[in-house]
Amino acid sequence: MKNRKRIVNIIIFTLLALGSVLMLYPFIWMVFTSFKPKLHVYIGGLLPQVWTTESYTQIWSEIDLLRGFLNTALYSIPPVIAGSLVSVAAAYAFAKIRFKGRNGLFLFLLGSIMIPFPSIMVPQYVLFSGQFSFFKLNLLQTPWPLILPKLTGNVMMIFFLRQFLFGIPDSLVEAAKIDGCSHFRIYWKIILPLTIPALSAHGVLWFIAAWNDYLAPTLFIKNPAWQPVTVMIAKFNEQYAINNHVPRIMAGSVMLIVPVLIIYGLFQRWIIESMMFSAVKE
Amino acid sequence: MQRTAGKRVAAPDLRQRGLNYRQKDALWGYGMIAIPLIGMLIFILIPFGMSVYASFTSWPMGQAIEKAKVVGVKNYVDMFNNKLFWQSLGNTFYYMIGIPIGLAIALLLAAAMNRGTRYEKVFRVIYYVPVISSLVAITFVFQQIFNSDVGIINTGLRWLGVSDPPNWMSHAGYTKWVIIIMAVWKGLGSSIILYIAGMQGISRSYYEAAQVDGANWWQIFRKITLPLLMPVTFYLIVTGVIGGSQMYVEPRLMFTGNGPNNSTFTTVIHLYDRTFVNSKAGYGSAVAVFLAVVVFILTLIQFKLNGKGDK
Repeated sequence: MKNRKRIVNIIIFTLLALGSVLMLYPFIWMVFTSFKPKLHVYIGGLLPQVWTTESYTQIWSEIDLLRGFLNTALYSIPPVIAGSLVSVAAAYAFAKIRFKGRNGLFLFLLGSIMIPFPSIMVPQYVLFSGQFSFFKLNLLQTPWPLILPKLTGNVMMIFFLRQFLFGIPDSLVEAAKIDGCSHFRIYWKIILPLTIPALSAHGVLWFIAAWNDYLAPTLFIKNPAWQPVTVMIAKFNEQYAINNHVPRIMAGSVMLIVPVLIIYGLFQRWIIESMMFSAVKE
Repeated sequence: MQRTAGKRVAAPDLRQRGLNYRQKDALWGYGMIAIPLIGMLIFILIPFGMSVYASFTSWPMGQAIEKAKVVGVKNYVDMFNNKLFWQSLGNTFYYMIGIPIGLAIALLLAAAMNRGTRYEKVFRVIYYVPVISSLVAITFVFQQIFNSDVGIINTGLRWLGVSDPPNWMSHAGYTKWVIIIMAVWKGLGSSIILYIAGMQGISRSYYEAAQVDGANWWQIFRKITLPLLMPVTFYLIVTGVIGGSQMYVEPRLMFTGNGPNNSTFTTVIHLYDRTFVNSKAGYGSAVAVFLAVVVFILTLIQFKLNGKGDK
């Protein structure tokens, strides 16, 4: 019996390991191919026979990747941090402060996530392009269209943190109130530190989504200097798809994936655990 | 206001202050939720209202929407009479074949990863890597992997003895499958995590009782695990359908134009091109509203089914 279980475990382990190869193979192929000369792509197996960094020097010299990364960082770090702080405050209010219409307003907010982005992207574009009689500012030449919407918080995050805060006893907040703490102080000194683990996991996922975003930047960023790295590399890759310069395309993809992979590597335990935790909550 | 309230009920000092606190509390509450609510208004509700309004006008992109001529339901009539619209919708729903396929694979993998053996956590992390990777980058990689002449898939198929493997990238019968396979591969990790979480929420006592009754692995899986995971499955199906109905990046980057014989373009690509390429923003808005209605109905269904599951 025990022996049988061990055999089953070995079989399952082998299957999962083979599956892992399937999951990772595209990445491995991508990395090795990016170091091959153009004409060697499909000869001599997975590993390059001749290693070259030509594709990387090309991509760095041809497009302003540094600027692209800085732009992407600008779109995905400060707005996500600010938006997270706003979200915690809102979640705190929805979970711990009593006011009229609290649940109704929450449902109202939650309802908004049902509207898919493609259904509102054209009016958003119009809004940002300043074509209105009441709003004439053209933001399409600036980075703001990718920053402003994030600053007002993330509804899914509010939803999740609200659930999380329901699990924290009200007496904690009451005690602080009796001690004369204002709600802002409670938010800043008690709630924020308490939610940091849950918050950072969700924040990282939000950051990754913002980092990988493609449709919104292609629409809203009309000034090439402000393009995020996804759009720059997609353009670079499309250009080399025409003459089929595969290593350059793969180098572009590597540049896109590696930063996120590093962040994921650092936070993976948090991310997976928070995903599982929020799944139970749902 | 405080003074009048105090006068009317002649409340003692303390109660008056209590009322004051409650009002102050409420003010803080409204203040703290104000920014997300304003954001929703500006970035979601008003734009959506505009989409609805614009869908009844002949609004050329670039012109002020206030000046657009109202044309009634003409855009919707045009949309329903447009073969391309139906084709894009058909493609969009065709891609969703990937949802049940992905769920079945994810369920098996989750069961395999939830046996309490070593290395399981490592596997979870590995299978999640595609989920966090840039779709743009992945799309270009799969374009090469499915290259009909030299891609690894067809090389492998030839090695296995298939003399004439499919023309994945150029034959209309296969192009959608490239995208389906990629979407399944990319989404597996997240479904696996949710299934594992669901499995860990199932009480051990069910399994123990079944084992006492002599049920085998498959019976336990079918009669206990599967039904108790129904809420997770529903959740994954509906989020999958909602996400799938908005598919844009994969077909856009992997296939130029609408794909061979229009086989890969989606409703969102149709919306985008009509609006920004053909400058028919009124028509595009009709498609946008239609999309929102579809997503809304699908979400309602999820809430209904979830509600049933709870009871």
